[in-house]
Amino acid sequence: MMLPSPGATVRNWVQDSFTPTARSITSRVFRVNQTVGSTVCHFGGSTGYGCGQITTNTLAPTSCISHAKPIYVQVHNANGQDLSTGGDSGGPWFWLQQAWGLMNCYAGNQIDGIYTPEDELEISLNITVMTAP
Amino acid sequence: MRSLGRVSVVLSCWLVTACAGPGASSTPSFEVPTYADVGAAPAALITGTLERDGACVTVRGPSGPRVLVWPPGTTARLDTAGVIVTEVDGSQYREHGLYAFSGGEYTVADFPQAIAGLANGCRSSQLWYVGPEHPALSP
Repeated sequence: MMLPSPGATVRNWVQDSFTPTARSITSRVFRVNQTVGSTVCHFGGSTGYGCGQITTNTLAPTSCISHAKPIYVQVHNANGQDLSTGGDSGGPWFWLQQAWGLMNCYAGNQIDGIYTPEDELEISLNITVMTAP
Repeated sequence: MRSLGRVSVVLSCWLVTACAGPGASSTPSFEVPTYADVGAAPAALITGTLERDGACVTVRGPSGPRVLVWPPGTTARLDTAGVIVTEVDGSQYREHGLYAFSGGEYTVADFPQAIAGLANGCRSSQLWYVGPEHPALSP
């Protein structure tokens, strides 16, 4: 887990482009509401900005995460746009001003991505995602 | 006379092996650790120099060396310039070269798959799970 640099101000922002621009986060969406078919977007350090539709929210990517429980979300881009490659890990998944999760895994093809949903992230890291400055 | 002939045959074979140039099939093979499943893989990135430290092939990134654990089917051999690692798609990685590897950092204890061919001397090191595809290095 990365800690802010000394003197840095922690804000309720995520990066959503290479420019970079900051997107304000004002709410959190938990896994139970991240349903199959929902559209969600991300920014990755390699693939950049992209969106797709959730294909499952009960994935257990055990070849990527040791003893993974079936709580991970997989997203697919039907237009063939890449959603995951090396360097995307740790990037945000969001919709509008909502925090949905953080990128974990390449899914075996680049047009899918796997992320940890927001509430599972908060539990595993013992944090709360900021929704106000 | 019969035993002299055998010595001659053995000596000839030894000379052929000794004179073989780099890249010949007689270059010694070198085992690199591999995992089994090419499904979901970690999506981080490390950039650094490929190095060999005894039985360990590492990438030396900003945080020090990481022992590379390769996709299934990856092979390696030694030639006069050092170790050469070849993935099943033919991609080659040479000692002292600068590369970007997708994947993620683990220890032996938390690596998500069984590892084949990891030498005992490499087990205490930080590992890098080499993902199945790698973004190109920026020029």
